[in-house]
Amino acid sequence: MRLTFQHVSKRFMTMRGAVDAVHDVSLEIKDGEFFAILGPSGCGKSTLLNLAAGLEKPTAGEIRFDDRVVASPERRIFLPPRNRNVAMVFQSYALYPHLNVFDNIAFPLRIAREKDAHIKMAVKRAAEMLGIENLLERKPAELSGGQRQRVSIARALVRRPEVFLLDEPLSNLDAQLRTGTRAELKCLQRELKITTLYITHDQTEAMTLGDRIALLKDGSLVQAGTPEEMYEQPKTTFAATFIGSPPMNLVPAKVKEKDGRITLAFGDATMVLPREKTEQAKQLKKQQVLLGIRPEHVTLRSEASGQTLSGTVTAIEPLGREALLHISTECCHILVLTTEKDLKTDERVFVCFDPNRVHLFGPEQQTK
Amino acid sequence: MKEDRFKKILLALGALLTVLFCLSPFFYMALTGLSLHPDFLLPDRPLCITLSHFHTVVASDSVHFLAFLRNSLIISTASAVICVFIASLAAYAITRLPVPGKVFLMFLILAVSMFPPVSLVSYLFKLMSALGWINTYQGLIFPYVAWTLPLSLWILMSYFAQVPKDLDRAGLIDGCSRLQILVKIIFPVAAPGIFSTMLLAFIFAFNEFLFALMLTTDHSARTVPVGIALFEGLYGQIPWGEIMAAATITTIPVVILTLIFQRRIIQGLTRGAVKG
Repeated sequence: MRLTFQHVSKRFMTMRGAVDAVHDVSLEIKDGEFFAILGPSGCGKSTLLNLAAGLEKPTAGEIRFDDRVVASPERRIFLPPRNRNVAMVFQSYALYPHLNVFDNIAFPLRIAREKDAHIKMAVKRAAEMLGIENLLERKPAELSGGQRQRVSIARALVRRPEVFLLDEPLSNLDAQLRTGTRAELKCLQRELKITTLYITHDQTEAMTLGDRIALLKDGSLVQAGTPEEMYEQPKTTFAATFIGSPPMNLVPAKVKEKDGRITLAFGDATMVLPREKTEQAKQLKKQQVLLGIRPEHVTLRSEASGQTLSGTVTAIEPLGREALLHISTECCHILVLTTEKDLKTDERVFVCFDPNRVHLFGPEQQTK
Repeated sequence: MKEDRFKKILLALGALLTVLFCLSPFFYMALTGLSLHPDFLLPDRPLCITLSHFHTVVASDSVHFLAFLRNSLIISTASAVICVFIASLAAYAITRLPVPGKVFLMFLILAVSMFPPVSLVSYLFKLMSALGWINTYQGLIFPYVAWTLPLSLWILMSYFAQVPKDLDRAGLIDGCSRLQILVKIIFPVAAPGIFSTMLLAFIFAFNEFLFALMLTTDHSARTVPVGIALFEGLYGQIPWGEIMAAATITTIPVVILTLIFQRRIIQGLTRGAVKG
């Protein structure tokens, strides 16, 4: 099932006036794709999911499942959830507390008035898929968080939905369980090839799970693309700092042209830009730009030169194989990932940026 | 350790005193019903235990006590069920659906329940006369439903508000209609609240005196409280023994009901307390 959002907006009327929870979002999610919607809390990602499910009506735009319009205020079309064949997994699991696991999983089938024999088989199959066959008699209150999550996934899958919606399904699990469940979820989706919309505020989850990612901020789409595209070519400083951990460094810089060569000046250092970046840089001449560089593309030097910034180490976070250094320079604060182990705090260091890995953000791309 | 035990003893003593204090009127009631002479506490009166009062109350045709009891049970049960049914639909709508002017509506409902019954009863009598409902079950059931509805609605709202909204959303996704969500999800999950609200409505109707006095004329719809109060008119003097025997029998259904739903109600009362 292909899922299309076309200029979709959702405006809520509150006591303090209108709030645009989703503003003019256009997305196309391909058949069988695992699509992650990423953003900080309050960015409208849950509203987008509710719009896809039919729990909310859009105030503008059109939502299509394949070529079937499921919601369009202009054409007065709105299909309620039960006519959409979507399934959803909630952050709170939303298991029915008065029913045991079997009845929870069977619930959507019973509502659809399926035959008992079919229900039994379908529940058994779903339970086996998620490894919860031995829990069928238990009540939700007697299950651990991970088991509850499995039950809610089984309940969502038992109907063979055409669209699978997940609303931060892993955020209530502890860290270790989360990694394991993440991998299983990906396998399961691969196997079933259901078009999946996955909401998360955790960029690691979005990067590892999503075939593609859409980044949302304040109800608007910031950027959509594959995890690699999002990582390698962030369109704004928001995308640059939200995706990737530790986040990208942003250094105030100025574009200069000297002897026909485009250079970048920041702090007391200058950098000659590689050829593929000069086109972009030329347009930003004489403007305040931000230079973006990921912590793993910053190298440490023992001696100062024209390309280095000098600073002092303010903190060291050992991460095992590497360490994350916080370095304070006169123009900014810089994070560096390094394998160098014999550094101490307050030590004087010189940092150098890899010119091929530098990102430039003009004034329009600078969003906090 | 010693202090612990001391505390426990004090606690038990306190509990015992409270229970004694609360139960002593009932004990006195039952004893008066059982004794031959109601003034058995006087020094020169012996305490003769007898079932004759109970026998009179139950067996004597002129007393009609069993008719009163039947009326009471039917009217109270019907008004409790109807009241909770309407209140739960309203509570669902108010807690889950975008009702305009919700807060205003809720306080209006609460304000309605503040009218003293005395101010309404004469108009109610006129209304029931016009409808020809004097001395009928529906003539009492409808006022009782109207009277208990605001309180039931407020109690149920606090229970329904505690049922996570995600359950509604899950129900919608799983293919439920709004009514199915109410019946298959909200009702079972909020069952303690439903039961305790129903019991409160039942006890209210079971105890109600004024409306029952005004709107009934004989045993075909008269309820127990009014029936017992009018016992004295049957004999020349106040028949304390019969009154107490009848009152004792009347408490039995309420006690049974409370015992049956005890666990659910306790669950409900504490939950209601937290939520205010």
